[in-house]
Order: sequence, then C-alpha cells, then structure tokens
Amino acid sequence: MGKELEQIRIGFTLTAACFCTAVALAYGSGACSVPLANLSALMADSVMTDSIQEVVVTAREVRHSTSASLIGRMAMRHLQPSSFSDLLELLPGGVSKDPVMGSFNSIGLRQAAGMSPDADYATSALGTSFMIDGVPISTGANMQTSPDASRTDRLGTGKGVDMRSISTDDIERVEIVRGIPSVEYGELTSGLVNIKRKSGESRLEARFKADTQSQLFYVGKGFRMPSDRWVLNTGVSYLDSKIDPRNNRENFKRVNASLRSDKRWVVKGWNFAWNASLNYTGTFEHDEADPDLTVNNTIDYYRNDRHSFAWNSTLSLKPTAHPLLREVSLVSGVSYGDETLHQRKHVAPQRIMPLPVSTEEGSNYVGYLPMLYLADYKVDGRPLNSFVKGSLRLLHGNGALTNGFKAGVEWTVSKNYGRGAVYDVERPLVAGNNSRPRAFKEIPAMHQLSAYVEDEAKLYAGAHVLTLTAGLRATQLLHLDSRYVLHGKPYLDPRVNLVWNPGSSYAGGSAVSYEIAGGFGWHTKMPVAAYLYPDRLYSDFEQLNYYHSEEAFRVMNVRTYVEDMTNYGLKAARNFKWEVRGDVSWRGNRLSVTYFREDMKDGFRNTGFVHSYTYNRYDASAFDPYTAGRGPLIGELPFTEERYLAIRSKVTNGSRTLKEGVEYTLQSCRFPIVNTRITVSGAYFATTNCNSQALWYKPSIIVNNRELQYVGLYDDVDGSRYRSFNTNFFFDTDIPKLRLNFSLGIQNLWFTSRQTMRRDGVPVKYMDSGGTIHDYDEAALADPYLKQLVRHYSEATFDEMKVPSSTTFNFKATKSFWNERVALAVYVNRLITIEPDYKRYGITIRRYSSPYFGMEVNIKI
Amino acid sequence: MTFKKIIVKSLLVPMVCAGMAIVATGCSDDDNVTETYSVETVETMPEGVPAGYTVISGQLACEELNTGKSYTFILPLANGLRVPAGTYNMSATMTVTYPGNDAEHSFRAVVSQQVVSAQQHSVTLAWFHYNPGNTLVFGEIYFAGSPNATGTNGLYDTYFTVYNNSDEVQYADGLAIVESKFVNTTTDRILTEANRREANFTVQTVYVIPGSGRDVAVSPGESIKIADQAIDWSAQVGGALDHTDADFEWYDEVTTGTIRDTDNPAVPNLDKWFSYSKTVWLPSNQCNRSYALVRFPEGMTAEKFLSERNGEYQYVNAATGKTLNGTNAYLIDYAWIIDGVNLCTTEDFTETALSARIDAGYAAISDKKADKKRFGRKLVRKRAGVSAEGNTVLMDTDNSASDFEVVSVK
Repeated sequence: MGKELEQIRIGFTLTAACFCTAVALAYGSGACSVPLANLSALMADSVMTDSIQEVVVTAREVRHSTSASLIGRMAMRHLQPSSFSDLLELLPGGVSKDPVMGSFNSIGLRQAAGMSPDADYATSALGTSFMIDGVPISTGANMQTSPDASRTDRLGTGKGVDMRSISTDDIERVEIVRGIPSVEYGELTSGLVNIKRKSGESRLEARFKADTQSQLFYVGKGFRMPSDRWVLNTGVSYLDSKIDPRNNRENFKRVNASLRSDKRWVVKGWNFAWNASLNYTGTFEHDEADPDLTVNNTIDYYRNDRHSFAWNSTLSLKPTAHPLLREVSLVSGVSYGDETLHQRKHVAPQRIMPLPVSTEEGSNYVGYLPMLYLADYKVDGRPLNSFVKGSLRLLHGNGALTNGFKAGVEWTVSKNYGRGAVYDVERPLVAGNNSRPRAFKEIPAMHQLSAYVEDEAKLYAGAHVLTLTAGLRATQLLHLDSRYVLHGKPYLDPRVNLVWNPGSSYAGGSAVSYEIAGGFGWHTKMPVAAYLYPDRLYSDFEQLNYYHSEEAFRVMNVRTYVEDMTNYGLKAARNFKWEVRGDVSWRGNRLSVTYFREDMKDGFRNTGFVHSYTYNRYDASAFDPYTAGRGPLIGELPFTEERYLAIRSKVTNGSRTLKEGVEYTLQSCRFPIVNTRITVSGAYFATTNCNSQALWYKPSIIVNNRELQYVGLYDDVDGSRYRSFNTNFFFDTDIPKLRLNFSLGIQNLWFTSRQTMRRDGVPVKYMDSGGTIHDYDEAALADPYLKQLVRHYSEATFDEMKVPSSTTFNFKATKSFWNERVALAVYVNRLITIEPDYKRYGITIRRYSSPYFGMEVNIKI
Repeated sequence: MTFKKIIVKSLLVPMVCAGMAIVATGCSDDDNVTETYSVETVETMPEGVPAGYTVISGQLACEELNTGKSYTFILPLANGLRVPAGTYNMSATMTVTYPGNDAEHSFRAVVSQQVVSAQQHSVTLAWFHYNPGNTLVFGEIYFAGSPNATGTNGLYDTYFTVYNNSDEVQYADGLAIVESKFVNTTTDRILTEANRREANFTVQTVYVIPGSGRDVAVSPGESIKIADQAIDWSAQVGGALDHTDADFEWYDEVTTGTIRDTDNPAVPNLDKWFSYSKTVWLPSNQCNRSYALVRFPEGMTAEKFLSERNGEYQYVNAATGKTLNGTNAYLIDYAWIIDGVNLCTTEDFTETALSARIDAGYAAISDKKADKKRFGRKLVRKRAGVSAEGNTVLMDTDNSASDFEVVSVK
C-alpha cells in the first residue's frame, strides 16, 4: 500500500498551489459564493442551451473521405499552446509534451511514442506538408548548417517544417490529414497539415500567456473596411522562451505578424473572392556563454536568426449559375527568407593540428592551427520560394449520381541566394575541421511541376451512399541535369478513397449511422536541394609528416582529393499507404476506428560507399635538414605508393519506414446535468525504421601500425522496431452560465517499446585495399586482420526494451468574465503522474517527472 | 684483500645463523687504516607483514662515498654489520617467507648518506615490498596535460618516463606500454573468465618500443621519456612542456580525418601493435585507467599477439543491467608485466583494472573527476633513496597509492 502511494507522485507544493489557484480562477471570485444547490440548477439550466454541443475542445475526426483530425479555435484556446507543436497532443496517439524550444521541432505523424529523431529517418517529417491558406511552406532550399555537432539538433535541413516557428494565435482551424489526402496536395509522403487562418471582422483580441519556460503576447483584430465586402485581419504575436528558466542567455524568440485581406465582389454573374496576405515570421535562437563562467571572460555565442517574409494570394471565381463549373482559382505565394547563423567561439586546441584547407586537388603543403584563436562562423541563407497553382472545380449532378471534378496545375521554384558558410577556413569553428565552404547561390534553382485530376463520385442508392474519390497526381522536377535519374522522370501518385454510408438503423429511438471507408494511395516527396546538390567532399591523405623541432624545417604534405558527392541515382521518396476505417454515430456519440499501414522503402539517408584512393608515403628519414638548410620537399624523397579504402557517404534512398497501427476516437455527447463530454482516443503504433540496402562498414581500429585495410559488406538489417499503445481519457465540462470550461485529461501510455533488429555482424563480402571484392568465408574468419571485420553483438542488443505504463493527469480550465471580454485560463500537465517502477535485467528503474504549468489571460475589446 | 668479521645485533629480525660467507670486495689500500665499527641495524617492515617471518636469502651492499670502497654482506647477517667509519649508501634486498606459507616475498631497503663514526653507529633499514623483476618502472606519468590557452582543458603535452630502478643496465626495446580497457571507475560486471582482473590484464592499446632487444639501453637510475607529441609545447602555450628531448613519441598516422598527429623526425616513434581508435591515442586525460610495462615472451610478434590474445568479452552494463559485448580488447598475461600502475580519482574509484598482485592500490591525480586542478600535475614515483652503487632508487612497493605523489610540473 505504502509503495503504491509512493508511486503516485503528486506534484510538489507549487503545483498544488497552482491547482488551487486554477480552481479558484475557474469558478471566479463570484462563483465561490454560489451555493451548491444553485450550481446544479445552473448546470441543469445550461443543458437546455443547444450551443453547448458546439463546444469542442478536442480534435474531431473529420467527416471526410480519409482519416483526418480537425482542431478548431475552441480546442486551441482550451489547450493554451505556445506553438504548433503543442497541438499534436490532440491527435490519436498523441500525449502531452513540454515545449522543447531549444531544438528543431519536426512532426512525426502516426509513429510510435518514444522515438527519438534520427537524421536517417527524417523523411516522414520532411514529407509532411504544411499548407497555410492554400500555400505550402517550402523548406526545399533551406541549408543552414553548423560543423559544431552540439548544434545539429537545432537545425533542420531535410527535416521539414520547424513547428516552433508557427504561432497558433491566428489560426482558425487546422485539419491534419493522417490518411490519404486528396491529390490536390503533393510534395508529401506522410501527411498534410492544412492551416486556415482567421478571417472576418472581430474585436481586438489580446492574449498573454506565461508558462514555466516562456511568455507569449498576441494582439489581433479583424477590420471591416469601408468598401463593401472587404475585411482586413491582422495579428502580431511574440514568444520569448527560455530553454532553462534559470538561464536567460539561452533562449528562443519568435515574432509572427500578418496582414490578411479578404475582398469579395460580384461581376457579371461571377463571385470573386480575393484573399491576400503579407506575413512575417522571425525566429531568434540565441545561446551565449556566461562571461563570468568562462576563463578569460570571453563571450562565445551561437545565434540563429531567421526572418521570413511571405506574400500569399488566392483569387477565386465562382459562377453564380453555371451547369458545371463551380470554381476557378489561382493561388500564388512567394516567400523570402533571410537566415543568419552566427557562431563565435574562442577555440583553444589541445593538440597541434595540421590543417589542410586547399581546394585544389593534388599534393598540397599544409599549415598548422594556432593554439588560441577566435572563430567567427557565419552561414548566410536566403531561400526564395515561389508557388503558383491554377485549379478548377466542376460539379455534375444527375440525381442518383453526382460527380465532383477537380483539376489543377502547380509550379514551384525554390532557390537559395545566400552566400553559404562565410568564415576563415584557417580558423574553423571546431579545431581540425577542414571543410571548405561554398555559396548556396551556386546551387541551381529547383523547379517542380505538378498536375492533378480527381473525381469524387457520389452514388445514392436507396439509403446507401457511396462516395468514391479517385485521383492522379503527376510530379516532375524541371531543369535538372540530364545525369540525374530524376531528370525528365514524372512520378504518378494515384490515390483512391471509398466511403460507404449504409444508411441508418434505429436503437433506443435514435438513429445509428454507420460509415465504412478505406483507401490507398502513393505519395511522393522530391529530394531537397541539399540532397540533390551536396557539398563537395575534400579528403586529405597524409603523405609527409615532418614536424621538426626547428620551426623552419617543418613540412606537412597531403594528397587532396575533391569529390563530387552527388548521387545522380537519387530518386524521390515514395510512401504507399492503405487504410480502412469504421465509424458509428448514435445520439451525438461517435466511435471511429482506423487501421493503417504505410510503407516507405526509399526514404532519404546517408549511406556509405567505399571509395579507393591512392597516395604516396614519403620517407624523410635520410633527409638532413641542417645540410639542406630547409625542410624536405616531396619531390626529393623516396616514397611508396599506398592505397586506402574509405567509406564516404552519399544521400540515397536507403531508409525504410514502415508504419502500422490502429487509431481510435470515441467521443460522447455532452452528458446532461454534469455537462461533461468524454473523449477516449488513442492509438497502437508499430513503426519500423531500417535500412533497405546493404551497408559497408570499416572498423575504426589500428592493427600493426596501420588502419585496417579491409571493408566489410553486411546484409544485416540495421534498424529498430518501435511500438506504443495509448489511451487518453478526456473529460471536459462546459458550463455556459458560468462561462466556465474545464477539463481533466488522463493520458495513459500503456507501453512503449523498442527493439533492435537482429544482425549477425558477419560480413558477406569484403573488399581489400586493391578494391577487389571477396567472399567472406571460413578462411577469412581465421585471419587475424580479416576477423576484425566481424561485428559482435551480444544477445541483449536485440532484446525488446519495453517501458510499462505511465499515466498522467492534466488539468485545464478557462473562465470568462464580463460578457466574454476577459478570459482567464490555466493548465497543469502532469498534475499527478503514476509511473510505476519496473525492473529490467534485475535493476529497478524509477521514473520521475515534474509538472508543467501555465496561465493566460485573453482579452477582447 | 681483507676479510672483516662483523658482529651484528639485530633488534627485529630473528637471526638464523648459517654457515656464512662473508664477502668483502675492493679495498686494497691498507696504508690508511681506519677504525671499524659494529653498526646496529634497526629494521622496520611494511604493515601487514606477520612477525616471525623467515629470511631465505638477502644481500646488503654498502658503498663508502669518499673512498669508493664497497662492502657486501649476506643476509641474514651472521656476525652483524661491521664497516669502517665513513659515509655510506646502502642498498639491501631480501626474500622472506611468512609463517606457515611457502610463498616468497621480496623486500628492498635503501639508505643514503649514512654516516658511520664513533658517535653514529646505528642504521635504519626501512624494508619495502618490491618485485625483483621490476627493473624498469614507470617513473613519471603526466596524462592530464598542461592547461590549454584558455585554461579550459588540458593540452596533450602528455608523457611518461620509464625508469631503470635496478643497478644494472636494462634494455627497453621490445617493451610494450599498454592501456587498460576498463576504467577504474567502472561498475560493470565482467562475465568472461579470461577478462577478470585476476586472470589477465585486458588492454585496448599496445605500443611497443622499437628495437632488436639491445638497442635502447637504460642505465641504472636513468629513464627514457615517451611523449605523445615530441614537440616544444612551451613555444605554443606558455607554461607547457618542451618534449623535443623525448626519447620516443607515439605517432598515430591518421591517413585521413580531422584530428591528426605530428611526427618529429628526430624522435623515433613507438610501434603500434593495436589501438581501439583509428585516430590518435590519448591516454586517459582524467587519469582513471591502468597502465603496464610488458615484456613479451621470446618470439612474440604483432601478428602472433593479435591472433592469439584477442580478448573480446561479455559484461553486464551496470546502468542498464544488459549483457553486452566488449570489443577491441586484448589480453596480457600477468607474468609478462614488469610494472603496472592503476590511476583513478579518489571519489570515483570502484576497482582496479590491474590485479593487486601487480598494483595493490591506485595513484590519484585529484579527488574529483575531471577536476580542472589536475592540469599541470603529474604523478611521480617517490624517491626511496640511493643504492650502494649510487643510483637513485624509486619506491616500488607494488602499491601506487604509496609509491606515487602528485607534483606540479613547474
């Protein structure tokens, strides 16, 4: 008993205090005086109000041709998010997470909980398309990098959209398509995030939020303009987030501002609607060293400042009366980014570092790094993306059969005009780093042309309704060098969704409606510019190392190889998905269950290739520098020719991501009297990440003075299988009379598991330094050198690592005052956590977590 | 030749009188006859040695510093110690057995500048454990390095010395310097029998001093210096060391990569038989691994060693409880080790990688792990005294905790 009690770790006093404040706030100072009898009367009274069914503070399963979640304004207000990342909690399988503002936030739809991001399996995130008011956010020309390994998780080349940068305040609703989206949407493999921003006249709204890490301010208003049917919306938000509240030198700041215009008019029987917006997003990531803590009071810093300006426009024409044509529209968008990554660091190497930095191929003499210098490293990125899409919609109705037809053409261009890394190559940020920079603007622009056609046929047969959506999308990169496999290669994405509504039956006097649906489809994501046009690789082979005690005699010579690392065979990543869905509704209660399977066999990753090099090893042992009065020159020394095998990585389509699972959502009606709605949602996810091609590996060991001169080829599957299963119970209560809305979320993560896939570690082939490939046989196993190629794995490596259940209680409340002019809201995540200790290999593992909380005030004037 | 009979009164050692050979050497100058004195020997034994031990054999050498005459006595002293007046360096070794056990234990004692006169005729022999095979020992170990230019980290101006602690010339070529695979702060449990610390010494690097066996002579009381980079570090960073006088450096040829080494043409390189790393070998900067000097048996080659002494093993990871494989490990037979040193920081010590037979304790550079105060500090073997031959004898009790002291390199 005592142990159980111990396992229920209630948040410390601070949380308790916060909770009390929350309750007090929620009921308001006036509410406290309402006698209990009156309270229930108020509640009973409010049942009469029809509008309460409209209050949805969770994600709703969209009644759509595929599985998708809709998150509305109310849900966002109740959730009190800091950035778009927080919304994902509402999806089936989602659990609340604390904001992580110190690193790139990439999206991971339909994947097991507890997976850590891995650059080799980022295609799922890259292949989730974010659309804002019909215009996609393009990240194809983003190339910001840093050689400083401690910063890589802050950067997002090839990882898609950084959700930290998206503010939720101007969002009216978000539809997250987890299943098979319409062919109207392309450049995606895994999902679609379709954001619709607020439009329409509104009062001045302001929001101020504070949580453990951050403060957020927002002001927005919708203006009715003097001219007819013209509305202007504007919003500005500012987020100041500290990664660690105790350290104000490391922070993430974000500014979002937009001016959106919605103008409508009618000309000769045509309804014109023109939506245009001017948008700014700025993110500022700073991490500075504290001069009081550094030895020489130096200020070393990392700053990554990104400004993005975007112009979006949608012109739509709808005929007032046309037998077929419903809409013609032209969507365009231009965005320009000004990104500066600036890192300054005092570098004090611990060794004498030879520094080969020549960009010329051949033999080069090399200098040495000083023992203290100031590295000033800048990356200048200026991605420009433009997007134009023309589309039309037709509708043909014929009694029992209606056909909705869609077609469109889309053209995107992305190009980075930045100067790339700008720094003194002889003063690198990381001692010994010998990369040679190149300007991003040298990389050609990427052009992409897509077209789609889709037909949505609705067949009414008695009580049955059958909806078949079938579409085809073609995508192709243009102006690509003919050496690329992608040159002139169109990708065709057929996608089909079928929905069958078999009509209603009756139970308990109310209609029970059913929906059975399913679909399949291919989804294609083209590689980003950084994958198609990688940096050249510079390899420097040591030929002569002559570090004489006399400085004047010192000589170091390397053989420099400059290689183009372009993988001309790179293809697009393709994901094949299929799913089946069942949906039952009865008296405002709805159960929706989806089974899905997605298999992407050609995700992008870095794969090793064996490259063979030759260089000379010069012998200066007979050279007398005192006689010569100088150090040796390679031309006068005897040498032996050496061969060397190295593994060099290129971007390939070598990653496989297999996602499988069941998503479910049960949403009850709002129970009378208590005014509470119960939402039960969750998912079972099984995700496998592995390589889909054989891997080369060279052990990094030295035997008998030399690096091992063999490379092994392993057909092992280097991957892991992750699983998770969760159920979230969400009780939300809405009392309109009190203008009070509060909820308790109980999030149960029944288990998470990770299992490394079995490997035997014995190569199937090996390559000798001459480049000849041999079978790896018994004789090889006996050879003292060749046996070093065997990779040893203990049995435990392949054990399933299962973490048992964890349950958290999250509380949220919103209370409005003064005719809804002021609303106060509060949330506490992990108010209570139940995370039982568990044993693994005889070791007891205890889990601890602390609550996370925030408050906000919303004002409408 | 003069034979001198000597009576010794021993206070501590129960003397077993045997048919004694009294050996006296040197001294033919009889014109100047000096008074001889019976010297009382006071002996102290290290802690833990049981009373009632038996001296099996031993020898005490006394060298008079003014005349250069030397006198050697067989232990146990049959007739006491009797020498002419003078100033002496004395060195003594003996082998004893403990009661009820046949195992032999070796001890050594040295006394420097001992005056024997009418007023002074008592000498203290402070016996310490020693391994007669430890002719070459680690003299100094500097693995923390000097502070780098910002003082935030240690430089790799690291080195160690191999000292000849005997009275004969020793040859260092063929000697291997090995680094332990296991950190002395580990709580992992080794499952493989051969890798248990009592069975073999598991190592991750094997560097060998090049030569045919008679090329690198180290005179008694002299040492050789082996540095990571044999360069003048003081020209690079103030306060760092000058290693241009090093006898060897370990040069790690990094064919391609970012961290490279330097090769001083004037300083020969060690042979690299095996290393777990394809870049440079950096000895434990936090000073928490173990090191040994190894004399391989006759006929051992790199190929033979690599094919016969592979020491891959299984262990239970203490943090996760998982049974894992340890790779890049080779086994050293304890019989091959001539000196070994465990290094560790006091607060983190768990167990030594070397068997207590080689080193019963460990030398600590600092109490705390990664203590920045360790930069600029080296571990130096304490001086025991001067041998009769006039060579400085370093403490070698096979317990690094008492043999080494922390000294600033400045």
